[in-house]
Amino acid sequence: MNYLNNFAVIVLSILIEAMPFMLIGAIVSAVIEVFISPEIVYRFLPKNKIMSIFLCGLMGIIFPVCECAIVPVVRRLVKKGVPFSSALTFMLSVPVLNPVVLSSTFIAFYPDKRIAILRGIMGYTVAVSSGIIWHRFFKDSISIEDKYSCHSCCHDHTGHNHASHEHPNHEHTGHDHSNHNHTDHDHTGQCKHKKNGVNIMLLLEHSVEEFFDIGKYLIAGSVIAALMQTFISREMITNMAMSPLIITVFMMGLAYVLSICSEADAFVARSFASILKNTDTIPFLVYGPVLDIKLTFMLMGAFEKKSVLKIMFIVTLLVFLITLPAVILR
Amino acid sequence: MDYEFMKLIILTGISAGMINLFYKGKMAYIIHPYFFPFTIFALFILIIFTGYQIIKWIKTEKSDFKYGIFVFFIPLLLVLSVPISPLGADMASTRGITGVTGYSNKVTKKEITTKINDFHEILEDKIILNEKNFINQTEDIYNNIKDYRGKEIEMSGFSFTMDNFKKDQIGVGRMAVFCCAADAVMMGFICEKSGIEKIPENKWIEVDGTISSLSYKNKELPLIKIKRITEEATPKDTYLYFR
Repeated sequence: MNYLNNFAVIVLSILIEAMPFMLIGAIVSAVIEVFISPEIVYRFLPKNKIMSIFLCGLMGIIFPVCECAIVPVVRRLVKKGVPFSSALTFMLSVPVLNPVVLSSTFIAFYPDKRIAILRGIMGYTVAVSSGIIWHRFFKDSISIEDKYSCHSCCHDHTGHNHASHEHPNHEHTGHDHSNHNHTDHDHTGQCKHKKNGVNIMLLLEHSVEEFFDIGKYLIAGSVIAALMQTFISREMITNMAMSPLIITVFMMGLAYVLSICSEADAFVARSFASILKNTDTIPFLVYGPVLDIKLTFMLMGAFEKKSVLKIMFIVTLLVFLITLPAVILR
Repeated sequence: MDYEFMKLIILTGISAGMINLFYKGKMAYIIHPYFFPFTIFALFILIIFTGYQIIKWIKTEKSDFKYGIFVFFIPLLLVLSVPISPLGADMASTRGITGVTGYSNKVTKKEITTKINDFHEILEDKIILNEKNFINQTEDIYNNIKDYRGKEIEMSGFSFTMDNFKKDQIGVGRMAVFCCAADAVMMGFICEKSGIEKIPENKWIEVDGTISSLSYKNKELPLIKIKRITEEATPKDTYLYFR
């Protein structure tokens, strides 16, 4: 009976804590859908993709939300034509390189300033390298399935944005509308000409859809995370032989399993300090915000399974390679 | 069943569930009270969504049914079927015992020095831990075991055991919440109960003893040598909240 209560409390706490951010994410994503056209994206994004990756990695500073809010926004940005390498960098950096997260890390480890600084630098490195690797080895235009069934509004349907991406002229001809007039541009244009009242209804329509779409993955993720938290012991890590390699792997595993919001995880990390060195928690602090159980479910819901597996592989490998030296050097 | 209607039920259910948790005072068992404004903001948005969904339900004649929606009934059923109470002593076995979280750092540098001086200056022979000083005082004891050795201490909390405990050891502590129950840690002390035979487990107890130290997994941790132990009624909210 106690287990059921603990399980319920943890599920609800992850959900209720994530709820405001997830709703902000749903609403921002709806705003992008209704008000931002691919043309605007192309006008504001640097033409040089590598440059754009480096810039997207810094966006967290002006967009301080945690990981729950970011997935729907990124999905929508990709649909609007942001190259996936840039969107990925944006998604991976915002939950780490973000004033709220870094200041809570700073406070938790005070007076050890290294941890917050290393977390920021390593988080940024992981995000940017992931973007560059994606740009170098994989397709920048990934298809995003449109799951919405709304017929009452304008909508870019599956494949349309894909088509516009692969259009050879698109990248350097922002003004050349005639070529993709029949695709998503056509639809968004239509949106903008509607009256304000209709726009608000449209905004609500998309927000509610996004809420239901992303919500079920958030719930599924938090149920698994709560099961892990109820039955698997955190003490486990301390009973292991303490080689840097094992510490790195276990701290990353712990971050994945616990699925704690990146705005609070620094304090949990610090609570290991009675057993571990401060720098031993860096793998936990860098990996947790970019990948954990609830995020895996949310990503699976937002993108193709194959792309998600690639992202998970790249990110896991990078975090391991980048944070291991911190644990070795202490 | 109509898909749009089901969405309406879920939105209504979530909003009602949240209002109910607030009304019964149970929201604080789930999330830190300082987070309430965000939760209320979320509730406000959900109520707007519910309003929108009523219109959508009336307007829509038929829409495709997606089975993924049943996932939303998991949290709703949990709220309905489980009498939500604070995380208890049995979480200690999975979360371990914590003395230092770094949260007492959340004051300016100047304040820290005066605060630590405060603790050290007002060090009377007996330290009494209460809701207000529990976190800072515990961190100070963990950080300066030497200075506290031999002092008397009185505290109350859940009694718990962990796998690595010796036969005559028991833990006493409280769950301390940063943001929500998912990130709570068990803050407290390992106690030694030499000479005292009967000690209840997973009960709310008051402990009276002297501070000493022990080596636990190659680290020096404070230890309370118990002189007196009494079982007490569990308070309504057993959490400590970081502010």
